[in-house]
Amino acid sequence: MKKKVAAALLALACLVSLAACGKEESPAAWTTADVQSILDSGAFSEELEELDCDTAWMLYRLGDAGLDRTQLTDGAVRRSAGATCEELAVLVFDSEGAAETAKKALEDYIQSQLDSNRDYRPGEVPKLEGKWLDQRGNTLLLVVADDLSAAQTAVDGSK
Amino acid sequence: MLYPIHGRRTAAILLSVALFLPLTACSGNSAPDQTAASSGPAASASTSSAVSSQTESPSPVQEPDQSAAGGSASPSEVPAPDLPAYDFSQPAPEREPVDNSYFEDAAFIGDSRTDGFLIYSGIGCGKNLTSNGLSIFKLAEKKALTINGTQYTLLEALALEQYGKVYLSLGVNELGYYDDEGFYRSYCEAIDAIREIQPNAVIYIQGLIPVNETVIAQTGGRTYLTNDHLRVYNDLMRQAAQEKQVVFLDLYSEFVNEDGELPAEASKDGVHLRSDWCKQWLAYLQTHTVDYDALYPGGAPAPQAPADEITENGSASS
Repeated sequence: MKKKVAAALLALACLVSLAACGKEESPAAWTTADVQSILDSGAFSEELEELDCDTAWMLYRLGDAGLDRTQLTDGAVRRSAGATCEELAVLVFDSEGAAETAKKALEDYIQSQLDSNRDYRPGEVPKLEGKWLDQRGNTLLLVVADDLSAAQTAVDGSK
Repeated sequence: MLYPIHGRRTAAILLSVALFLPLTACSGNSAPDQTAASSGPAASASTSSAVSSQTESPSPVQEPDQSAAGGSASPSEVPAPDLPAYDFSQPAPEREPVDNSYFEDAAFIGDSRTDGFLIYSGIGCGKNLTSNGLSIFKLAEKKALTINGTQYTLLEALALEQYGKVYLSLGVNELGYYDDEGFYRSYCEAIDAIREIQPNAVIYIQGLIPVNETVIAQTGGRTYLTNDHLRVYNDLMRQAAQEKQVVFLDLYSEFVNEDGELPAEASKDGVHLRSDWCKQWLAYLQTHTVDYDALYPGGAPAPQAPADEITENGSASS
């Protein structure tokens, strides 16, 4: 009997430990709080304008990508009013699949930004080419910054 | 296909007038002057539609002109609705604001400024047909938009759907060209092309919003972006609007400060507007609308050749 209990406890301990390992390997999802951390990092060369989720939905053409507006459940977006191409977005979706679809839409968006700014504002092209687009679970992060390493440092410690 | 919201109302009033005129003729109470004032199908349609579409507006365009109808009518006479035709030589007058649903069948053709307007104004609708750095000179040839993998000029993209309103705003990127005559001609050609593609749309020419030259200099912007030249272009755009009989919107006067510039706080780079000023831009558009029936009671004008000469001060003469 004692052996059986010991074996069960051992198995349970292994399971718990495996589950914990799994959590450690999967980075925490992006949150709207990360937006403030990145804004405070000095990554941007100018003060960015705030956009609501409805506008972000239109801007990134998420509907054209096949998503429904209800699938974008939360978000925080900051963007230059036009002086630069800098922007920052955390988008939260109702599923990992929706975030995956949105990631493709954001890749297209960045490509269109590159196409339209290559001649118009060539100085902004390196920022766009060096964009940070990252999916974590059902969340997405987009950063187009003057100092990307500052943005990454600001959130690396918390992730 | 989308049509101006007042079309049905206008049609209803036209029908009422058509039914009413024979009745008054039978009773012998028709006034000769009034009949003469509305002789011909165009004049008849003009007076009727102008009443239907403009009575709510406080502007001179919408004020009934009783003297033009031959003086005041006696109580027994039927007053003929007789309003002056829309004055294309003047900017659109202010009227009661519309809500954003007005722009649901609108297309916005422009450059990065218009793109910013659509993003930051809170308009929430309207087709975005913009391209960063676009000039009126390249409007018909630059493949500026990619839709489902196919590249289009903005005019080609405009032709993909039918709109009730088309807002055109280009001119800032052209300030470095110093080709005023070419600018004027290109604007006239653009209006003709838009009218051909969108014969049922009200075409709005948006006058250029001033820039702030100090901020431009401080942020390393382009030195050719001057308000002096911008004002010349605004005059030419206004004349093109008059020549082609489309609506001119005087956004310059809406935004200019006492120094003849865009307020410094309105823009980070002296050119592109911050969100609060984009909202002001939207408020202006909401209060400066004109109905298609009031503009063209006899149908849209046929395309005309633009003026041949530009005078020394940049104005066009035909």
